[in-house]
Amino acid sequence: MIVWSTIVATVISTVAIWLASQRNPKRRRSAGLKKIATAPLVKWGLLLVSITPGVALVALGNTSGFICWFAAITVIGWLVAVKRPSAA
Amino acid sequence: MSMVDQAKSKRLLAVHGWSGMILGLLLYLVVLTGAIAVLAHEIGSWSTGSAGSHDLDPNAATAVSQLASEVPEEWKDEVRLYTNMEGNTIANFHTHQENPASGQIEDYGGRFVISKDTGEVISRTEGYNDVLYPTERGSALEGFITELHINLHLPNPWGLYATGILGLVLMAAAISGLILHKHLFRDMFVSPRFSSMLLNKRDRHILAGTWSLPFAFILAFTGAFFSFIISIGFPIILLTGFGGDIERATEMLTPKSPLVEDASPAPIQSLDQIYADLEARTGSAPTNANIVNLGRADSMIVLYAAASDGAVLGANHAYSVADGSYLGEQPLIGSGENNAAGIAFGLMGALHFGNFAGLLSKSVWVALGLAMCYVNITGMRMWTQRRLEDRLWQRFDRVTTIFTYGVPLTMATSAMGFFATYNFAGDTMTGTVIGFFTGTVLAFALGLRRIDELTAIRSLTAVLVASMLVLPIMRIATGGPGWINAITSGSGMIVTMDLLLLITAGAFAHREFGPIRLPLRAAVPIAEPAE
Repeated sequence: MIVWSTIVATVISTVAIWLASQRNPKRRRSAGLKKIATAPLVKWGLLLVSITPGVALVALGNTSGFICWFAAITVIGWLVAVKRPSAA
Repeated sequence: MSMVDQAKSKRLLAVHGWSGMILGLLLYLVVLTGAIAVLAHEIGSWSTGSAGSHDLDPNAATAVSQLASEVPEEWKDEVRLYTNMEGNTIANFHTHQENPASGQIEDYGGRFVISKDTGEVISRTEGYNDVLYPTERGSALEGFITELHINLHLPNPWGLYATGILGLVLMAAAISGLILHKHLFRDMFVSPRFSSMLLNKRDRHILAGTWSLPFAFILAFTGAFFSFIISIGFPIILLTGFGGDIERATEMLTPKSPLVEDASPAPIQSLDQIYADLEARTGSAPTNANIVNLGRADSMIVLYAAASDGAVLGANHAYSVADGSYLGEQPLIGSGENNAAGIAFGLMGALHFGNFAGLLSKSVWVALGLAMCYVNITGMRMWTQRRLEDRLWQRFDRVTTIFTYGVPLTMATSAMGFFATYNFAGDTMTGTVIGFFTGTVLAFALGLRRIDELTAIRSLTAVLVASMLVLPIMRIATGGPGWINAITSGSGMIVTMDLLLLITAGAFAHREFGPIRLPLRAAVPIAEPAE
């Protein structure tokens, strides 16, 4: 349960980070891609979704899971960002 | 906006760059071996072909009780119990007395190895610390890698000073990088640009550095803390607080027994029942134990149980050996109610070693270490390739290449040296060291040839890939268990480690020799070969 909740939290945050990266205007501009119009609600919503799983782990008393999640996000975020954005 | 003006920014960049350049290669060695050492226990299990469980073996409990009736009375002052890499129980019965050879108060007594298969004593030795706590044959490989990370195999305390300073350099690089980067959060998603080779390298370095910043700081801080607390902190506390009296300091820092002193003889409760009770209470089996005053009415056993149920810290639990009653949790350090020092120390350890949530946290910590290696190497590459017109920097660039691929190569050849000796009654530490130096010579011999950079990288990669592919074959060929045997005997970790090596080898091969080439790789200017 402890391990699975950590993995699920990390997967949710990864998806949110990936979606946020796909819409990031500076990322798209530097790659020569068209800007995707993103409402502030979506932008802040993705930020919230990427952080909430970590908060949930702490709330559930899974402190070790929270530290794992935080550390994993720093690596996953880098791997998501380092990849060139697709044109889609 | 930058936190500092342009002049200060320039000076800070110089500090960031030069400190990284001067100590960068050693830093890479320490960080990479640290990332590998996170899996030290798994490496030990893989290299010896054992199941890798470090839990105390309940089947050894009878032998421990039997030994208590055989050994000299004074050896029962203290008994340490733990499991070695082969799964056998080590029972160190000892007292504390001055070693005439060292002039220091040391443990003196008997070291008994209790077989995991038969529960009988298979080896007995008597002596001081060097006899009681030897480097075991099965731990040579993991011990070699771990020591390389901790002190670079330099004599104490110089090795610890060196790694402590490297920790501080890493902290300084992280902080100066944070101050220097003007658009830290805005650039978090900007993928490296391909407009020029140098710009691409800069983007890669900054991007990886930005994301790994929090844990680079944490790992550097905790690493420097452990290096300096052992080499400087403890000796200062010992001298100033205890007048150099090791015994008094140990007594002060060791948790006190809640039992009333009573030297009358008493029976020894079944240790396996105590182990079972602890597992039922905490959800974790004990991994080591310390018994004081064995055979007396006030005898106490303190067992360590790893963290469970989402906690970060494990805990020590005390039981009466005479009647088996639970005496409660013991602080990790000292005897007071306030266990802040013990908690702080424990947290530092958990955050540095990444061993608080089993394989899950260990995997993440390995990834963190590798990400930091990437930041280190891309930073050095950026620095050298800006100065390639200078012959000295051309040579340094080549040495960076040799280190980048050479350090993992030496880890692989060290494992080969271990395998060549482990199952053939050879000296495993000598084998591992010879393997390490063979890898070092091979890396320099390949890298210092008069060839262009790309060819040097490719030849080093080819040898690295080959060595990683050979390791699982060599492990099995020298007597280690095959995959089916390993799985059926509950040693799945061995197969996992083999697969990890094969996948890593495949990734390296694909990156260097695969069909997909990064656009800029072919455009990297060829440095003048080093002479």
